[in-house]
Amino acid sequence: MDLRRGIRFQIDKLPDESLQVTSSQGFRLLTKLKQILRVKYALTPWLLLSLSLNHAATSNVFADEALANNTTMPNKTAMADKVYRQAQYLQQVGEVSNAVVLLEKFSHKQLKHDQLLAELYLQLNMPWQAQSSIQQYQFVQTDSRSKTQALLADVFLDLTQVALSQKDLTSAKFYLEQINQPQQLSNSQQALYLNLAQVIYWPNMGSDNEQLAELIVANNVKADKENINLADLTNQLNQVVYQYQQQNYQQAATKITVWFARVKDFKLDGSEQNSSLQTSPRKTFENLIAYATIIRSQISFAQGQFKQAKQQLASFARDNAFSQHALYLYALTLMQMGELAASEAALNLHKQEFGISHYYWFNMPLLAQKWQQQQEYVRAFNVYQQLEAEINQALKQLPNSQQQMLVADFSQASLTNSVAKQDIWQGLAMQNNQVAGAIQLVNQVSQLDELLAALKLKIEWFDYLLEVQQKRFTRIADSVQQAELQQQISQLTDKLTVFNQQLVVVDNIGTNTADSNLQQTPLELLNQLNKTLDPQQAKWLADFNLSQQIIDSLPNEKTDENKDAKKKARYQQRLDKVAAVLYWQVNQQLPERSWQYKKALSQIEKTLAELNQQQQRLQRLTSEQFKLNQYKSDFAQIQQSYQQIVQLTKLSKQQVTQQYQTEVKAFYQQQHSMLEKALLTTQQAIAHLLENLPERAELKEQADPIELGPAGSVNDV
Amino acid sequence: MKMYKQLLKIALVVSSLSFASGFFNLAMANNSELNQSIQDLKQQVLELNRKLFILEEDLLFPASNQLAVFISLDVGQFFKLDSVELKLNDQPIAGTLYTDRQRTALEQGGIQKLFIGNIKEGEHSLTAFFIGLDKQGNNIKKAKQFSFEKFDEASMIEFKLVDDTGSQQAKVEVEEWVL
Repeated sequence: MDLRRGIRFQIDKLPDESLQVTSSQGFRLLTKLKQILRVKYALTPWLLLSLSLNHAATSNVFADEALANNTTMPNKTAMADKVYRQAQYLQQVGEVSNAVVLLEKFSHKQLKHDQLLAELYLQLNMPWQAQSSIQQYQFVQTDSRSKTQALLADVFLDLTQVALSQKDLTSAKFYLEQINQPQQLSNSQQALYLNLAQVIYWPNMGSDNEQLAELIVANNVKADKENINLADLTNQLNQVVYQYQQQNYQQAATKITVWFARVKDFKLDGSEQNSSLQTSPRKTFENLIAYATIIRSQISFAQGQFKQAKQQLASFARDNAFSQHALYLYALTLMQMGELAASEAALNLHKQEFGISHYYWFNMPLLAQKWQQQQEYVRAFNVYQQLEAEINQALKQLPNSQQQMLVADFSQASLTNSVAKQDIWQGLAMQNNQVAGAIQLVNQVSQLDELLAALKLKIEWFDYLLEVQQKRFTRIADSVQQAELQQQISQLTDKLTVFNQQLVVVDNIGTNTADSNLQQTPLELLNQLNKTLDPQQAKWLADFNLSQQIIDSLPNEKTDENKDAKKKARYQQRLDKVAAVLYWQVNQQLPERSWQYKKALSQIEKTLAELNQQQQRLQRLTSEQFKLNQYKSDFAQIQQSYQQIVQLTKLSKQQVTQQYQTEVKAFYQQQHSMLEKALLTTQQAIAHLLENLPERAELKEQADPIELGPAGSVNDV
Repeated sequence: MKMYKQLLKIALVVSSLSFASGFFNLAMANNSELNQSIQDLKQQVLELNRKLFILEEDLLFPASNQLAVFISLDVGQFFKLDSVELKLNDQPIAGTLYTDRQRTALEQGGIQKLFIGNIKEGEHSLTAFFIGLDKQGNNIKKAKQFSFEKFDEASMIEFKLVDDTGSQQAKVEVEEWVL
């Protein structure tokens, strides 16, 4: 059957009055019709589309009428926009997973918000889903190709940044490689691309990227200073670092001077200030300046301009991400300048501020060597001794294999920086790239745990809802059973049928002419109306019928006995007369009876309609019970999936914990081996010093013993 | 002297390496596979969340009875929203006291779903009260009543607080979403 034709036919055949509605009503009518048809025939979308087109045609026909009624066709709400804005609201108030659910719920309705969805996924630390989301967007995208490419480039740049922040260099490389033609990116995208490429491929950027870098630099030279963004600055600084690492110190020095000149008037633009994916741009900018300052000092140092390096580092901000390195370099510079006491004080301050680090292990032997060169053997000896004691102490503090229990107890809470600072080794472990990568995984699992906990609550809530609904349906079913609704309906229907029949009789007799009624005897007519008689009249009719039976039983074939025949005729005549009187009486009451019947009928019909409605509602409820069963089945599947996910999460947790433990253990072993080596070297240096200690030094010590404070003086620095 | 030079060289190498690790903070962490499986699990959790969300809405608020009320803001130049109260047929049904974060989200174009519930078919009346401060910092309360007829499809009504530059005041507009 061609449903489409059939439905068109039905719409075309609708009576004119039904079509003479306002467009607004027409729209609602169509919607309602669509709903009915959708339910009844499970219409396919193209069928509904044809309905809409049909409606549009109908609307045109009645357009003038609609105008005359001063009504306007309600435009369909742009649901895509509404959903997008709801998701935005949820995102901004922190309900990111709800925003994702909302967008995904509507995604089957061709509402594409994949850029927002990709952003939300990134916020949930799910870069793969973000990528998949944006690739779907590319697939359904009808906008211009360049717009899609730009959008994709944005997402891949974001994904690369996320992967870098997760210390996942392989993924970062993969995402960046997805951008095939970086030359076609916008200026800001190019700068960011190059920046990321420098980080990923360091120190070899590849010829393509170097060309791009040159292009960007050339563009920047042409451009106004204010148009340079943070990524440009980073790129230029990376060029300096590259020159420095190639030992082109002079070129590096020139470039860094130019860099500082350019940065002098730099202002963050609005877009950078509002960036949502990165840390505060102001903070990044400050860090960049600090980093550049250190690079400049290091270049000066490498060129032997120690005084200049000292000046550059003297004003270095203390609360900065690079202050540890700055202090270390400062101590090294002082050492080179021969200011050994100040250098030692700086190193002690370094230890005091930042704890033990490789900076300290490397600088202390250097300092001892310097003291030795200046023939300050006692001081050199003291430095070596201090170093030896500290290495021994560090070896004691370093968790060994027996202390791996500490690692096993590493919960999410202990991964925070505040706790890490309490244990220097934990702090150092956190700085290790492998350990940090494992920690990222631990964080991922704990985020998954949070999502699962929220899901568990929802599952419990839904379980409760289903239970309540089931109770409701059971209660309704019980009450329906008690009410015996179907029985009531059939009784009423029977009653209605009887009343209808009586009414037909009454109406027929009432409307028939006297002549036609004369074709029947009064008794026959009364018998037709027997159900309409009152009790007294019914009793009389019963008597009449009995009399008629008696009359009928009298012999009438004995023609010779005329007396009997006459008697019978007389009886019949008398009976007809009284029956006629009763019929006349009943006939007089017929209009009134008819009216009563009609009234009773309408009441019964009303009651019946109500009962039928109630029955339909119950039928609907029965179908809802069916739906409820469907919900239960779906819910059971959800529960099953949930259990599977919980199991898989447990497994992942075990793997992640194991990986974390392995990395930490490896780090501790590495540190242990390094410390033992350092201890051996220090002890050898002490032995060497003592063996070669000149006699005059011993004499000098006896004459002028030197007492060193354990940390020197901060003011010296 | 030779040893010192060697140590100094090492120190400078350490220094350079530290720059790279300090600023770029990179690692060749070979955790992609495990990471991928965790991502997949997260995706599955979100998928289940979505299914539950749809089931819950279908069960609790079938389209034939559903009424959803939304709140949105225009620029918010003339009215700083503090709270909203909502009445259905003169009975209070919902209300929100806004945090700065929520207000900002609305001011930036977000739409808040204030209420979702069930109502019978027929005539109904919704009244929304917007309480806040005007441009001069005075307490102000704005109300808007909206009558509508509930049919057997979901009713979605949006109250929009809009800046009226003509009167230099905020006004409330209502939009009934047409599905």
